[in-house]
Amino acid sequence: MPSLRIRAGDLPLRLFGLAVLAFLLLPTLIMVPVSFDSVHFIRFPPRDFSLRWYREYLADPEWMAATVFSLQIAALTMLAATVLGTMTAVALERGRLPGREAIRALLLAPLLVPHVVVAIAVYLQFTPIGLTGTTTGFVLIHTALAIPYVVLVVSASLARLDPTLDRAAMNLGASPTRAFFAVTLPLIRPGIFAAAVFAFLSSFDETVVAFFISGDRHKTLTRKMFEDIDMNLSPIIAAASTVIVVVTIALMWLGRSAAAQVSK
Amino acid sequence: MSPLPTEAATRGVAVAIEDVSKHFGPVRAVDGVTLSVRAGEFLSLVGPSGSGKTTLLMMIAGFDEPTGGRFVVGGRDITHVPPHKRDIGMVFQKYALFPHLTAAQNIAFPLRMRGVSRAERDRRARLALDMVKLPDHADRFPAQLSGGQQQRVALARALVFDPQVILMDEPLGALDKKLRQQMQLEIKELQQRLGATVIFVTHDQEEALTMSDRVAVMSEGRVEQVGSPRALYEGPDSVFVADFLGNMNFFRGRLDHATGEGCRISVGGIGMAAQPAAGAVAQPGSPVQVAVRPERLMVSREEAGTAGIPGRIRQQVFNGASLTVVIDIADGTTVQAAADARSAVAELRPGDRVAVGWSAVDAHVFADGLP
Amino acid sequence: MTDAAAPALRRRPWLRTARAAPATAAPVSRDRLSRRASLLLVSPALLLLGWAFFLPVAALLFRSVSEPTWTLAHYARLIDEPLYLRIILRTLWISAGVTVLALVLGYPIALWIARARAGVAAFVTLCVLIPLWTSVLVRSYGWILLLQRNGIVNSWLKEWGFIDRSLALLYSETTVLVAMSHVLLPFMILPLVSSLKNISPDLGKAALNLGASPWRGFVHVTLPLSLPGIFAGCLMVFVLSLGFYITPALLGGPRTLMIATLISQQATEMLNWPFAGAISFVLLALSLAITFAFRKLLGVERAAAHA
Repeated sequence: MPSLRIRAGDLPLRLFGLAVLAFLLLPTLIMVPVSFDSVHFIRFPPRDFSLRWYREYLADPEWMAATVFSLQIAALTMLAATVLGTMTAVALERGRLPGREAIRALLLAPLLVPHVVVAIAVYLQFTPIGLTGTTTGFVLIHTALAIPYVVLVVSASLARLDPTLDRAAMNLGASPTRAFFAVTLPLIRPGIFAAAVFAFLSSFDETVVAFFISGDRHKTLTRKMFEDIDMNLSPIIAAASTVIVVVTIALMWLGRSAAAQVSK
Repeated sequence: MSPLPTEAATRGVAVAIEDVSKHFGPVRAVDGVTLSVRAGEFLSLVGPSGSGKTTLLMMIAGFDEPTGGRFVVGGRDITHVPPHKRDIGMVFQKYALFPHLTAAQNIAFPLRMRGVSRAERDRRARLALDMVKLPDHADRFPAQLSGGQQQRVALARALVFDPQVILMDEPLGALDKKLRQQMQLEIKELQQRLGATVIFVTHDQEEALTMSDRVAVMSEGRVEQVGSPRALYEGPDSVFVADFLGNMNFFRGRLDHATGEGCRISVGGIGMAAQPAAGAVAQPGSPVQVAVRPERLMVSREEAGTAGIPGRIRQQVFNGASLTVVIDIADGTTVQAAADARSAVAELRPGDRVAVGWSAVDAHVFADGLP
Repeated sequence: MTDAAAPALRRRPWLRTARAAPATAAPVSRDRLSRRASLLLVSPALLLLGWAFFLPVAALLFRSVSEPTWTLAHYARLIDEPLYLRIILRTLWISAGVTVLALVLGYPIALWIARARAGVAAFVTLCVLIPLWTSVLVRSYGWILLLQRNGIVNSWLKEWGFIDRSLALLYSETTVLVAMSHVLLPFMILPLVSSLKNISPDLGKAALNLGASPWRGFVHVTLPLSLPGIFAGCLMVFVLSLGFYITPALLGGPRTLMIATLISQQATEMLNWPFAGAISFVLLALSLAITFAFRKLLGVERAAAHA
């Protein structure tokens, strides 16, 4: 319907739309060009190209420690949340569960509670038992916060699956357990993969809880960035941000493609 | 007789479609169509999907710009008029009723857009609802109406503002068979009573034959043939039209000689009389196809001296009012004949040898250039 | 369908079309996992959430009424001291502003995505998803790069001769409002897109055919039919705004304290945990109350989805 799409009167709307897209993208991606400039102050557009800030980022022990710590937590969180969340989703979608809807609501509750409340509550709980600033503490709370995402994504893949496939497998002689492992699980694998990506990123990106429960020695990349933004605003932050942006977008793209695959 | 939606009876106007084309890149969705629709006429566009009939309709409504040609409605060139100023009613395939408005509000919508006062809108919407036999459904939302009722509301909405022309895009496609037949008659009756010009798109050739004053058969963006249902059915100009409308048997043969009126052909060595289809020119000796309707095929038990093409009964199917026999003829072609269930044909059994023939006026000869 | 939702659905049955999710009403049949297996599967997640999430939050809220003794003093203080009331009101006002701004900026984009041909729609969608995927911290940092005293906007303005001395663009209420709208805009656009995409393009054509100009067709048909998306987007943005921490903490000054920053200040600087608990309770109660109040408005849609 080209006549519905392009009209002279659409032009202001189109310009407005482009302006909003610029508004969306400019603050999101501005650190990318800035990070490749060589000077210590911020200028845009950058006038030369250098990897100085990336070298400094890689050479700085504090930035490196924070990066490694964040990656470690995110990997462990991904593992724990994917396993627990998938088990839960299977029980919710395929099990005989008393109070199914109540349990679902409980599992999704972390999505409704502002993170600042979670953060100070967890700080209070973790401090007396020495869990603040530890990998264990981070993985515990990040897993709790990531489970809702995993449950949502895996449940959706399960719900989209034709239940007669399961029945067909059983009719052909598979026990319910074998039917699950031989038919259901392979079919929802892309969904589980997507859920794992989301779980990884939800931990890697998490800022508020990390801000409160990071220790002086063990801090996450987000906490380190938060401090430096407040303190010295070196272009190293731009370099670190660029790394985060690139990793995030690449992983999300993977996750989304995987999630889209299930619906086919 | 129920009242009309307005005091003045709706008077349809003539529509001229002049050499209209629509190209999408190299694809010619509509390729130089010229058609004139008379005022008050019910014209159907039929054709297989992708034949360009819906594209043509969308261009008349103004949702698509033609690549070339023009539309003249009631003497006015509307080719470049935006859709909301065309005054052309349309019944959409899936009705396109506004789900957030009641039946009455849906029907009043075009009046509201034309600045008709609220009281007058209500009055005309009520009349329109009466007209489509839904006087008690004014306050229902589309989701609360059955498919047939939604159809009627869509019809009332397209009629209520006295449009010059009404377009219908497969409006009955979503209804079940019984309801579809009932609505066909109702729409036809309403159209005649209002004297409306209707351009009706359907892929259902039977529907087109039932409802139309004239039918235009489209294929690959072109109009193959236009005429009254009867003329098209009994005198197809091309193999495509012969095949598309109704059931048709095709025999392969050879043209022996042609005169002005009729011609002689041979099918499997048997000489038969037939008549050349309009515009179908073939040289004597060249291969031809002969098209004969199942109900015009004459089948008799083959006995010594019986004229006709020999064949063997393969199957006999009873379908209520009539009987279909499937016959294998010598050259490997399979044909069907329809006969009265109580005729002598009913006595034939699979395996029986028969002779197949026809009256010359029922056999249309086409040059066999097509597969 | 719940009894409460039924009359509402009767009043607005078109919402039925808003989300035609297939209901997976699960019949208890042989091909389901046993009750014991199901419970075994959910219990690790529930235990973890119970210990690492529900218990701490409950303990925090509990402290707000139990320390130093059983008391409502911390809540009384919230109401009595105008400073705190002002912060709560400011949070509501900024959240409302963010919601309106996001709606105004987001609706045309959503319409664009819903109406454009596939390639353009995919590109615009990507432009919305990239910010959504990017960490809030990174995007807030982006705003600092743009707006700080020797930041990009100031240097441009100076270069073009509009100003001589750098403007203080950061640490104001407007900055927080604009930056938060930016951060939350995708949460407005995505529900709008899904609700606009649910509207059959035939309806727009029908409106034109019946004599509505494109603008009137939009006002009378598209806009009312996209109301479920508008509700959902506004609800999401408003509730997320209420508890927003990072952006106001980095871009706001002491004059733009919001509830979340107040909680953190009371907890970490004043070490007044019971009071922080009381404010947390207020924030939580506000978020949940608004969610459920609006959910009730949206309840018909959800009920329809489960019907």
